[in-house]
Amino acid sequence: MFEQTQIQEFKEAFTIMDQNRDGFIDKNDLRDTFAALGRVNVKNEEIDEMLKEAPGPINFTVFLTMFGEKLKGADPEETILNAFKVFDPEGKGVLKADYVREMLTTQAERFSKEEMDQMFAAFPPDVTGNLDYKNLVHIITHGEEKD
Amino acid sequence: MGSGTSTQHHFAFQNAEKAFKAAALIQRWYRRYMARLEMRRHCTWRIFQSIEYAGQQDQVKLHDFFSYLVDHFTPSSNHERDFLDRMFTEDRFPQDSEMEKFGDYESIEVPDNYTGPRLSFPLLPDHATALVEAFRLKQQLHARYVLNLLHETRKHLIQLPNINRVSTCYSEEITVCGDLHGQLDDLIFIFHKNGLPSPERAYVFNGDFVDRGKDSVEILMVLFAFMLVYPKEFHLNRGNHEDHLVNLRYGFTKEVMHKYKTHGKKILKILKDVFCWLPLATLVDEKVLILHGGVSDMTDLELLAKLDRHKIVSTMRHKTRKENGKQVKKEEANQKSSAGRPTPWFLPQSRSLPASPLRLGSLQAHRAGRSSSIPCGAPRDAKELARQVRRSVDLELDRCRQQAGFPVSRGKEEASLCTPEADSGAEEPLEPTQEEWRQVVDILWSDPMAQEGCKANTVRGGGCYFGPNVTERLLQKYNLQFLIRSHECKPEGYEFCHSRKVLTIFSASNYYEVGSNRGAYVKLGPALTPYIVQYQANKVTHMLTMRQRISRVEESALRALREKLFAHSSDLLGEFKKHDADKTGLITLSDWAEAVESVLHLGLPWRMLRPQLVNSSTDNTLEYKSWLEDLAKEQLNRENIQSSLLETLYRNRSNLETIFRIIDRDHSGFISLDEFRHTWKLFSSHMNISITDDCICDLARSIDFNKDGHIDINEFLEAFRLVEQSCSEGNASDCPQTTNTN
Repeated sequence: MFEQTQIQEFKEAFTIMDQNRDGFIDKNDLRDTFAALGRVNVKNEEIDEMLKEAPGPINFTVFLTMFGEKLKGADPEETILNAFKVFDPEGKGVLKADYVREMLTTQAERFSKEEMDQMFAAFPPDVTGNLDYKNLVHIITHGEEKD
Repeated sequence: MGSGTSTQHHFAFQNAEKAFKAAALIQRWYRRYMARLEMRRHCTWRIFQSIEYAGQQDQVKLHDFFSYLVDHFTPSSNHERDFLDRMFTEDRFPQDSEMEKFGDYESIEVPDNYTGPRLSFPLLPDHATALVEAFRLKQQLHARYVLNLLHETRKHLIQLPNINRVSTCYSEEITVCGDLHGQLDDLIFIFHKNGLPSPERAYVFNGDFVDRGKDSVEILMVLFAFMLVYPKEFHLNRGNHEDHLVNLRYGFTKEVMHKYKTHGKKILKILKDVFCWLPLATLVDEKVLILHGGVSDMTDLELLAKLDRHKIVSTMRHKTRKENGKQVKKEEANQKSSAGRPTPWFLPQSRSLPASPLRLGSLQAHRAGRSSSIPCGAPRDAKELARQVRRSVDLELDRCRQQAGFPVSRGKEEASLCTPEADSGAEEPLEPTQEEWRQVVDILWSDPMAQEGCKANTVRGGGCYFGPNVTERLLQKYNLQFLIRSHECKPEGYEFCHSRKVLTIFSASNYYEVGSNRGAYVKLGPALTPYIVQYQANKVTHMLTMRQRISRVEESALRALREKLFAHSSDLLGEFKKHDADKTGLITLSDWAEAVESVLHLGLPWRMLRPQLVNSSTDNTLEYKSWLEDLAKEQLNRENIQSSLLETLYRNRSNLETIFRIIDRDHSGFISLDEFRHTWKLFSSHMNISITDDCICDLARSIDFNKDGHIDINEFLEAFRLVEQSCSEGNASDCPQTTNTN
């Protein structure tokens, strides 16, 4: 399923996620990982759900099967830009921050308030309340802009 | 309903579906980005930590090396003897009367135009407060007051027990702070945010006040001042950095000598004593134990309370005596069982093991990311071990001697360097017992781990890793509720572990780099519920977004990592070649990761870091020679020195500097060419560094700029860009003195 090199990479990612370094990812590790990603108030039920997916304690092999997919690759810039353009049919390149908030927090895999705030903290809208999504996509895809 | 509306509905429905899918895509994509960012943050953290701990290991190796020379080396000529005498003879244990002399400050004149803070004793609260304010304004305390304060501090500390007791009956709240490491801004911030110490506001500072940061002196002055003003409410615990040998390496010694050129030596001498008198732990309401490092499965609070803490001069190097109190004769030392004595790291046996046998299985399990270069093996038969140790040491030392140009010894090992005349006439037992020393090392150096059990802390080279069961047992044995310790930097400034029975508190924010971590302190009220306050004492970090902060710290970590890689270029080349049997000049990226880890032993996720360290690689392979050359180009800017020599010196610069300061016992700032050459030869042959004789001679001579046969430490280090920026530049602006305060 995975090449040797990929497996090595995942192994490293696993080690990073295994915060208490005991060779298993447990509830606390999962919770900490979520918290680190901005989802501070993950419900117990949700974590339990994820753990239930696994046949046993999540060691590296289980991790590979469960999360391997999620660790692979990134979507190309075009794809993400097109996704944003769905909400910007006139192609202005900017979107009202409030609209973005509504769009991302009320449907699909909803962002929590904290996640949304985090995004706007990292990519602040301008004084007129517009989010330059082209810039956002560019930065995330290509790394940091030179200050 | 005509086709129009249904088309509209259809269109609307399609739109909604599209919007749904688009939103899902964006959410997933952004969350993956956040995950990668978090990964980077963890990686960066690991880089800093592993480099820090590797440095500590080095330090321990160095001192073990010196210890063994002292204990086993027989100088075979007067020349050799004198030379090593200079390096190794410990000062006589200072008598009280001598201490009086060292603390002699009354003869020191304070010039009239001195505008810094003044102290008079007994100290009043206002004095202490004024001191904080003066330091905030970047003033420097005159040496006379420094010595006076240290003198009074010592008098006070002598009366204190090893384990201080504090009660929330008297002070309603108790604030516990962790490592400060010379970062005065953090201390000032804590006092600003939490309030100055007072009878109602007790403070406990849990060690590691000095080293690394640039204001260790000022921190000590403030802490000691408040301790004298509020002796019942203000408490200090000793940390592993309150140790003159550690200070040689990590910057405190340098800072003192730099700020106090005339009286620095005196100050350092009395400080060495003051550090030994610092209490070892603090107990709150008999329920919360506060100590710097941690505990081991052998930790005995009764023994710790009874022992003479003053005799533990340094946890880095020790001479210990037998239980019956006689001074160890060197012959006895050589025949005595080695179980429990530390074996030298350069021998193929293990380092000193804790009483419980090492479980090799758990060692592997634990090693997620923390590798150690010290091999561990099972303990063997004691006598056999002793014999092997002795034989190996003999051989090893002979080899060193030969390479260093000393005549090879003939004859038996016997009493060595601590020459009889160095011992004082009185026959008082000067050393702690092995057990006492161990107890103190354990509480100053240990770290908690997630697994059950207790094993040697090979990463730091001292103390142990203790598991939740060890904590539980200790808490139960002494009827305690939880432990507060410091010693480890944490991204959030604090961390609970062992089911919240152990709290790590670390008060030096931005410890590795601006933006690397927050600092924190914890408050305890009568209910003893910990209340944590976090901060980051640097305005700049508040302006940065998280990704910018992460980038910045990451860049710093990567720079440090690239330096380390460069410093091992030759070894790396050798390792790469092994993976390139066909001599194509290429290796796979996977092999690259393996090779790098096998050389550096840092336990880092190399595959994840690879994109940051290897610029160009086509189809999964790397031209390793040109990669190494690129690394070198970044680091080298001097063409007149061979790159391999520079690389070697660069790698060992901390050791070099430490050796320098050890040789320069009187802190004059100079060592002779000969001393430098001989020391370096001994050391380098031991560390298996091959440098030709000529190279070293040339090097030494070229550094001796004024050709007077002496090397100025700072000039030497400067010549190789080895002096840390903080001490070499900017001091003129930091201390705008018109008067001479030193």
